[in-house]
Amino acid sequence: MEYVGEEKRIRELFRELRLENERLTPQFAGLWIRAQAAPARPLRAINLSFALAAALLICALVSLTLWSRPWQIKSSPNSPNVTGFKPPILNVDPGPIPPTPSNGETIPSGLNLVKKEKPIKLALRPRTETAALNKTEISEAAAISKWESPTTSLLRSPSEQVLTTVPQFNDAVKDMKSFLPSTDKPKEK
Amino acid sequence: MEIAQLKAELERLHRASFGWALSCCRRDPSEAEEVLQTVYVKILEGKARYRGESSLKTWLFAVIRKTAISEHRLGLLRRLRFIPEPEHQTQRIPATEEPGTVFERSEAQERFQRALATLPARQREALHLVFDEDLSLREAADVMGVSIGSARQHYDRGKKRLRESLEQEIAYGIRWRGKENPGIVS
Repeated sequence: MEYVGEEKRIRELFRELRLENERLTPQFAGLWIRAQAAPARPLRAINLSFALAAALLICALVSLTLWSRPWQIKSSPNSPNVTGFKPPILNVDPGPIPPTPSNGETIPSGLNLVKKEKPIKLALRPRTETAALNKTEISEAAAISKWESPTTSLLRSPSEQVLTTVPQFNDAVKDMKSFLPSTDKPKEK
Repeated sequence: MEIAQLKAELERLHRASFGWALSCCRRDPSEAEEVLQTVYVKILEGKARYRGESSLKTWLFAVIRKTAISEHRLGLLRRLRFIPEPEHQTQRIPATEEPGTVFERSEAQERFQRALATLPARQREALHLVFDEDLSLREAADVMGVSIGSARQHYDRGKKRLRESLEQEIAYGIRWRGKENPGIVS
């Protein structure tokens, strides 16, 4: 490889450096013998660092699992209190308590609507059980229809009737006048 | 390759290997010696095996480079007290230069070594392999474990930075001399 100009100068400097390196170079034979006699490098240090890294990794994984657990419970679709809202307790008679199935299977009340969507399974059940279930469903539906939010009263006002109802033609003139504005009176005179 | 044949080849390349180890160990002779010894141990134990995929020099230099890096990391860990100091290391000769060597070194060489020390490791390695060891850029890339394009970039940038550093050193030298002895610089 031909070097010119700057490269030639760098090469000369490297050559000079090489001469200096050669003076520092130890004997090959001595180094080779030492290498042959050298004991195998202990692996304890490597194991220690590996153990440390593994322990850290395990700690991180455990903490991640613990952290993600409550999150999973909160985000599950079956949980009733997703938003933390508690509906008011209503004094509705839930009807007779459904008898426990003969095979020991218990039916949670929260899953009744889901069960309703499966008519084949429902048809297979005993009549008494289905009747009891229907009763509870009806009572629950009634309770839901009667339920009012706690803020409904805030939406009500004294003038609600005036705003929501329209006067009828059959009504008395006096009643009609009460709806008319007072500015129309001078015109009549 | 037979161990006797390998030994002969290693002996032939010993000086170049030590020079390269010095370059990889930031010109610390005792560290370079330890690295080279570790490389020989690796070869003897069969941990580093030459498979003839490249030239022996390229392979050996790559092993030296990797060993130097791992030794450097181990040194850092030792400083953090994770690893006990090996027995043979406690008897290590401190890396001091003989006074004669320093005086014999030319001023230009002194400047050059200072400039070389300021370069990033990859650039320094590329320049050393090409200019000192007469390796091609492909061989240098193989030693450094990078692509040829990357090696070329390191080489070009290294040359540029080395020139700039040398120019700065010279300019500083002239300014300094001018201040100390105004008669020198006209």
